[in-house]
Amino acid sequence: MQVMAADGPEKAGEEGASGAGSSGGGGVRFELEKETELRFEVEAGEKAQLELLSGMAEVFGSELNRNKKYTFGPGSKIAVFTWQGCSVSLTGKTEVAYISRDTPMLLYLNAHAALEQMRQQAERDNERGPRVMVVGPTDVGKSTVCRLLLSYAVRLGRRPTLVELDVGQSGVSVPGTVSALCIERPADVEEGFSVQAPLVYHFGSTTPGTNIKLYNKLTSCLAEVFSQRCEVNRRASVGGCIINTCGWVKSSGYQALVHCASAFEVDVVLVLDQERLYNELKRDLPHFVRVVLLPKSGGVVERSKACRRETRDEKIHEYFYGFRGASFYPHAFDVRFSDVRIYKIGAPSIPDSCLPLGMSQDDTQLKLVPVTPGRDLTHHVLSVSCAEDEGGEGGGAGAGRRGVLESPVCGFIVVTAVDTQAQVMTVLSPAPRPLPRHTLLIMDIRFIDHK
Amino acid sequence: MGYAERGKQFLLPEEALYLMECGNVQVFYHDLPLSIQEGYERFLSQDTMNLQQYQVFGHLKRLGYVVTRFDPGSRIPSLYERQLNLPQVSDRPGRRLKRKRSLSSASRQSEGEEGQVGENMEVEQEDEVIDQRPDSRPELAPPQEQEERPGTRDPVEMEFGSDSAPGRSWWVEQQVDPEPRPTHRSGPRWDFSAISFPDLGCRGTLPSLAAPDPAFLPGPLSVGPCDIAPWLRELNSRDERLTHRERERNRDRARYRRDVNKDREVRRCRNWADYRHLLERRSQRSHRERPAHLWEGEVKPLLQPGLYTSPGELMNGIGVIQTSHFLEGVSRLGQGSEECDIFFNVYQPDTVADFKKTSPGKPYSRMCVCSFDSPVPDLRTVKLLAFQSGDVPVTFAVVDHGGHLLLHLQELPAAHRPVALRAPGASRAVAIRQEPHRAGNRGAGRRPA
Repeated sequence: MQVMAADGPEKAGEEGASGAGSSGGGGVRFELEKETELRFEVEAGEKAQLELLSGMAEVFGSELNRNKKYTFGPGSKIAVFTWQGCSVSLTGKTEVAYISRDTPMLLYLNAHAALEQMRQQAERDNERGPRVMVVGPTDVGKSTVCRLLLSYAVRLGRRPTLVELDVGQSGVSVPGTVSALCIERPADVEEGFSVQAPLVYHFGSTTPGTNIKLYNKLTSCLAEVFSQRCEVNRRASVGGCIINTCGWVKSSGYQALVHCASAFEVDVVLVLDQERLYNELKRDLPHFVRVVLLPKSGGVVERSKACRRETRDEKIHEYFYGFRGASFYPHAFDVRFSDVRIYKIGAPSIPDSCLPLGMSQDDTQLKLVPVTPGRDLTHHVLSVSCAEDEGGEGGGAGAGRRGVLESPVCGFIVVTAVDTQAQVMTVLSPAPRPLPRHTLLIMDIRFIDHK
Repeated sequence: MGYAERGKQFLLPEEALYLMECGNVQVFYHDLPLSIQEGYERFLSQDTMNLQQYQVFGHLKRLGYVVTRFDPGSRIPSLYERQLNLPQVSDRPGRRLKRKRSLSSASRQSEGEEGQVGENMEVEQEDEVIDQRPDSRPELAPPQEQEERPGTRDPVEMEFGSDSAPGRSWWVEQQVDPEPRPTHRSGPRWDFSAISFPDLGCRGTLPSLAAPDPAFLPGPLSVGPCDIAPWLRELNSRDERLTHRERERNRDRARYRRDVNKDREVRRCRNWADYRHLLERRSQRSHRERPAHLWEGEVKPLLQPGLYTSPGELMNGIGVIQTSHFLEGVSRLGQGSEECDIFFNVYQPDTVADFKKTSPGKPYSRMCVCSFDSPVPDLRTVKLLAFQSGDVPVTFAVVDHGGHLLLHLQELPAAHRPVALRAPGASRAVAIRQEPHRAGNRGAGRRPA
C-alpha cells in the first residue's frame, strides 16, 4: 500500500498496525483511522457481512448504523470510508480487503461543499440550483461519485434529481433505458437508491452508439421534463440534478455529452480522470459552465465485458424478482399477437445515394418500424410504452407514432416463449394480465430467466 | 429645355452640352468661350452625369424624344393611388425645395450652368450623408453594451461583496440603471471565483485546498485543508486507447476547431438561454440561402398519380422553381441598389407639341444607363427598379463605345412566367427564365437598336 508523503511520518508508522486486521468474533476486525477507507471485493458466489463496531463510517455517502450487519452479494466492490476513524468487522470470503489512505474523498467532499454553496445561493435568490454533469471514460467511478454527491445533498435536506444517461449500466432501471429519479433519502447501503416512481424512457440498446440520434432526443426529453418539474417544485429546483453519463467520450459520444450539457443547461461539469476530455469540454462549452477535473479513486476496478453483462442481467433479474430475488413474484401469461403492436426504433440505414437530394440519414433513426412477431423474439426484453393506444387502424398514425418515442415507459416484460402456430407469446411480467398498454418497444437486450 | 428661375434661364449641364454640340448655344466661362471638348470635360463628371449617360441622352434627343432627369426623390403613386386617379402632385414639393435652397448658391455665381452643377452636387452629397446615418447605427451598439457590462456585475458583487474593495461600493450604488436586471433574472450566474471547486485542471494555481465551510458539509465533520499535489501526479495514469484513425481525427480537430470562448459574442452570453439563442441565430443565418421549398418540410412525391390530366398542369406540378409575379415581394427587398439607377424620363416625340414642363404627365418610359462592361443587373436590381418605376416600363440602355442597345424586360403570361428581354425595334424576343443570379442573358442580341 502506498502512503502519501504529506500525511506525515507518525501516521505512516501507524499504518502497519491498523492495516492488519485482527481476527475475532468470527470476522476480521479492521481499525480505520481518520480519512481512510477499507476496500474489499466479495468473491464470486460468496457473501460478506460488514458490521460497524465503533466510530462512524459511510459507504458511498450513506452512513452505516452501528451494530447492524450489512450483507453484500457476490462480486460487490465496496469502500467503507471514515471521516473520524472507526472499527469494523468483516465476515465472509473476500478476494481483497485492505485499508487505503490514498482516497480522493476529500476532493469529492470539497466538490460537494461547492455545490451546496450554490444551492444555498439558489435558495436565497430564488433561482434554480446547480445542474451537474459527471463525465469520464469507463471505469473511473462516475456512478459512485454521483451516488456520493446525491447522498451528501440528501443528508443536508436537499431533494436532488439523479439523471441516469448510462444506458449500459443504469443505476435506476433496467439497462437500455435513460431515466430520472428524484432522490429523497440517502442510498441504502446494500441496495442503492430506493427506486420509487422513476421516469424511464426506452432506448433499446446498451450503447448510445447504436442510435445516437435517439439518445440525444431522449436526453432532450428528460431535460424538458426535469425543467417542468423544477418550475412547479421549488425544492427540486434548488436541489438541482446530477447527471450520470456513459463512458463513451470519443467522437459521437463526446458530441452527445456536449448536447446533454446544452439540453440540461448544466452549470458544472465534473470530469473524472481524463485531462484530454477536460480540455476539450473547456473549449467546447461556453465560459459560464464550470468544468472541473477530479481524480478517480484508486479503489476503482476495471470491469470486464462479462462482468458488465452479468451486472446487466442482475439488474433485469432484480426488476422482476426484487433485490436478491426475494421480494417480488412475477407473473407469466400469454399475449396474443393481435392484441399488441411491437415496434423497433430506427430503420436500417440506406446509402446516401439512394436518398432524395438534401435528405439526411438522421431521419431514419427515429422511425418506428413495426416488428412481425416471430420465434426470434424469444428472450427479448420489451418496454411497455405509456403512449396512448391508437384508436383507429392507421387513422392517426402520424401524430400517434411520434408520441411513442417521447412517452415514458410504464414497465418491462420479457418474452419467454413464442408459439407461431397459435399466434401467441408467453411473457414474464411484473403485474398480472392484462397489459396496461398495447404498444411494445423491442430492446436489443435479452434476458434468460433461469429460475 | 432648361428652366427659369428669378427671371433667369438656367440649363442643366447635359442640356447645355447638347445645345453646344448642336451649335445652338455658346457658353462663356471666365469670359472665354468654351469649346466642345472643354464642355465635355467641365459638364460631364461623376457628380452630374457621366459620358455614357450623356451619350444616351444625346441619342434620344436626336431621335426627337423629350428627355428629362428622373428625380429619385419623387414618389411614384402606388397601384392603389393610381386606381383612385389621385392628382399627380408628386414632383412639385421636391422641386420647390431644391429651388429655394439653390437661391444662395445660384446668386453667388454668375454662370447659371456652373451654379446648377454646384447645387446638384450639394444635394447629392446631402443625400449621402442621410443615407449613411442608418448604416452607422450598428457600429454604435458595441459601446452601449460595454456600458451594460459593468452594470450586470453589480448583483454578483453585492452578493459576494465581502472581499470586494471598499472603494468600489460608491460606484455600485451609483449605478441606477435598472436595465441589466432582466437578463439576470433569466438564469443564475454563479460567481465561480467565490465557489471553490477542487479543479485539478488548472495546474499549479492552487497548491492546496482550504478546508470547506462546515455549513456545507453533511454531518459534523471536521476536515482540514487538502493537498492536491499528489493527485496531480496520479492523473491520467491510465492511457487512453485510441485507434489510429481517432488519433488522426483528434489532431485535425485540434487544428481546426477553436475555443468557443474565444468568440466575443459567446463571451457576452451570460447563460445557456443567451448562448442557445446565439447559436440558433447563427444557424438560421447559414440556412437562409437555401430555398425553403427544397430543404424544409417532409420529403414527399411531387405528384400523385391521376391528379393531373394535361401536360401543362403536370409541368406546373413538378416545377421546382416556383412561379412568381415579377413584382412579388419587392417591398421586402429593401432600398435601392448602387450600381443601377433610373436616370431619365422619356416622353415620346409625338407629344412634343403639348408637352409642358410644369405638368409632364406620364412618361413613355424610364431609362437606366448601363455599360457594356459592367455586370448584368441581377434580379433584385431589376425588380427594385421596376417597382420604383411603377406602371411605366423601365428601359435599359446598354452603351458600348458609342453604340446603344435599348432593352426592356417584360413579363409574359406563360406557365413559368419567364421574363422576356426584348429590344424595341427588333422583332425577336429572347425569353429568359427568372433565375436568382442572372436576369439578363449576355448573349441575347447585342446589337444597336
